[in-house]
Formats: sequence, structure tokens, C-alpha cells
Amino acid sequence: MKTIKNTLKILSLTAVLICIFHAGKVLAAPLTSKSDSMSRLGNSTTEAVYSDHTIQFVTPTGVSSGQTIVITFPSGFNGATHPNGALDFSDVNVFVNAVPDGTCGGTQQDIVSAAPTASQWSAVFSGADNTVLTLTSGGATAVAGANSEVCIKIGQNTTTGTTASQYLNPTTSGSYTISIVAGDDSGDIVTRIIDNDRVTITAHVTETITFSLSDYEVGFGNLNPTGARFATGSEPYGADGPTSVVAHTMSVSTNGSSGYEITYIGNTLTSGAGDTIDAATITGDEDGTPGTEQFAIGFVAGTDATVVPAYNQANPTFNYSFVPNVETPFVYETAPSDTEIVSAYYLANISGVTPAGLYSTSLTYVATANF
Amino acid sequence: MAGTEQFGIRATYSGGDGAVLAPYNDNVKYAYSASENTPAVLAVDLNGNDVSTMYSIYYLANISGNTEQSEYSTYITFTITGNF
Repeated sequence: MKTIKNTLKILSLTAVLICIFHAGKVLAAPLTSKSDSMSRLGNSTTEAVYSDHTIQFVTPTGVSSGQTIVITFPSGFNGATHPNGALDFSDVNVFVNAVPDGTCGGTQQDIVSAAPTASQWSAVFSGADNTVLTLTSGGATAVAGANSEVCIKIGQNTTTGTTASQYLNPTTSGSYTISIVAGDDSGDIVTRIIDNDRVTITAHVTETITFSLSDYEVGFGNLNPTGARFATGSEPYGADGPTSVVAHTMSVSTNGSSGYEITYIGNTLTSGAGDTIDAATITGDEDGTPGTEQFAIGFVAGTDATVVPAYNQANPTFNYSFVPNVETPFVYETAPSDTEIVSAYYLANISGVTPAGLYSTSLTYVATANF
Repeated sequence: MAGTEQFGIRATYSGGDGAVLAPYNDNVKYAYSASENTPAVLAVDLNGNDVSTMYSIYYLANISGNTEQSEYSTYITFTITGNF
């Protein structure tokens, strides 16, 4: 019985001493609202996978002047092998937010490599493979108040950007525990390293070109030495000048990286007896020169195609031309083109001595994509 | 919209307490707001009850008539962050 009483006295004394001891010291508390948001979770088995870390937590007690925040990564992470060099203070950003909001923000702290002033923190990586990051408060204005939220970025998510170093992920998939000691508070964060964190998506876009003519038969009807005629696509064929009339259109589209061009080839208007209407080049004249033999064609682009100047019939340019039996380009684009509509104009004039007869010709249009 | 260049994803989920966030949770519409260095949040689970949620990801692509012929590719990195 006496032994028991003595034991109770000793325990009571111990309790009193413990209470006296803690009366002058802040009690530690577990960190809350902890997370480590990583930019990559894949392991480094087949290739080196480097990841940014955004470590965030709320410290109930706070981090006082001169205290430290120590983050210890488990074995497997490596902060010494990045192509940009080993991790150092420039690869670390620290934010303190007096009002936790779950996001990485608040006041950005001034980080230095060593000997921090009262408003700075030093950031030092140490241990095997730089797996320990120690942030040391330099003084009274480099602190985190009680219940404040601390966010620590490590890697290329910092203001250093793509020239920053990063931690290499472990080679083995699994759970890894990062330990944090912030002043007198502490806690753990578990991250998961997996075999592959990326989905590669592929697609193939094939070469395409479309080309069509709105009409395959057009006609002038009766030509007239006193006025121009324009070919049309419906009977009775032809329309009197001087106002030009569209004979037909052509539609083209392609995904060729250098666009397309369209050419024509064919003879001038020729009669069964072998008489011809002279091919002509007409500049700035909507109806050419009535009373003179002329056969020429002109084109107007719908949106962004370019018409070769000699064939640019667009108002007020009114150019026409025709080169018999030579494959001749007249419209083109230099980039992929969605549907482009090109309007074709056919002009004919005759003189008073043009032999009577039924004149005709056939023009072949070819669109070529440039891939 | 066929004939217009589009790339997007959407997701569905089953099991657990996870949920897909807008705009990725639509049954027919797709979205894509991430970039190489800017992540987008796809789904959350506010209940850490350790019950698995299965997410199914759908990918959509449309091209226009002048989409250049080529081999196209990208990769999407999926990450998950536990909030302890």
C-alpha cells in the first residue's frame, strides 16, 4: 500500500512538473487542410518524370519568428537530378494567407538562400537527393500567424518558371508520405505515384480537295457586230452587253497547306468551217470592243481567292483574257481553303466580216491542290 | 458541330461520391479549357470515405473543310490531389 501511495505521489508530481513546463511553451497541434497538388503523378520507370508540387496546409499554432518549416519528401523523390540543376531557393515560392480559403494565395514571402533578414525566409534543400526543404524565418515579419494558411510551391509553378528545377518522381508506383513540421505543428500528406498519368490522343486528317462546275453547257446565242454578247447557262443562250452576265460558277475547297490553283485550256471559238473568233485581252472594259472579233474570259472570286490580274473581271476592274490551247492558271489560294465560289464570264464580239457559222469550243478546268 | 474545328472532352461517373464538374458534366456537350501549363478541374469528391468513383472520359473532334491535312496529337495529363 505504501508503495502504491509513493507511486501516486511521484505521478502527481510529474504531472505538476509537466504542467509547469508547458505553461511557458505553446502546445503543438496537427496541421489541417493539407494537400500536395502535383503536376505529374507518373513514375520514372521508363522515363524521367519531373513534377511541380504545391503544398498547402493550415497551421493552428502558426510559425513564429526564427522558427522553421521543414518538408521531408520520402525516399524515391529526387531534387538533385533535374536538367536545370539541383533544386535551390529560387525554385521555391511561399505564400501566407491569414484567412484560409483553400487556394494557394495570400502574401508572397521573400525567399533567400541564406542569412535571411527579419522580413525574409531562407530556403535550403538538404539530405539525400535534396529531399528535405527547410524554410527558416529570419525574423518578426517573416511569420505565419495562428490558423493561417501556408502554400509552398516547388518547381516550375513558381515565378522562376520553366527554368526552374523540379523534383523527380520515384521509379516505383505507390503511396508516398510527405512529412511537414511547421513551427510546433506537424502533419503528413500522402501522394500517389502511378504507372502512367498521361493519355496520348492522335488524329489523322487526310488530304482533301473538292471541285465542281455549276454548268457544263453555256452559249452566246447570236453574236452581234454592234454589241457584246455574254454566254449564259440556260436557253435561250446569251445576253446582250454592255453589262456582263455570269455564265456559271465553280466551287473549290482543299486542306492543302499551300492552297490550290485552277487552270483552263481549250481553243477559241471555232466554226465547222475552221473560222475562229480572235482570242483577246481586254483591260478595264466591261464589254470589250464591239465590232472587233474578241473572245475572252474573266473571273470573280467569292471570298479570299486571288484572280490572276489579266482575268480579274470584278467591277470596276473588268479585265478579260484568253490564251488558246495553253494550260493557263487564273485563280489560286496559298492556304487551306473552305468552299470558294468562283464566277466565270465569257465575252464575245464580232466584226461585220466575221464569217457566218456555228462556233463552239470546249474549255477544260483543272483544280490542283498543293499539299 | 461537324464542319467546324472542335476538340473537347466530357466525363461521366459511377459509384462513390465523386462528381464531374461543369462544363464537363453535360450529356452531349464537350469542353476543353486546359492548356499545357494550366490545369482544369474535371471532378471532385468532397467525401473522403475511400469508396471508389469510376470516371469515363469521352473525347470529341471535328474538323472544317480547310483543316490542314496532317497527323495531329496531344496528350492530357491527369492528376489527383487528396485534401487531408
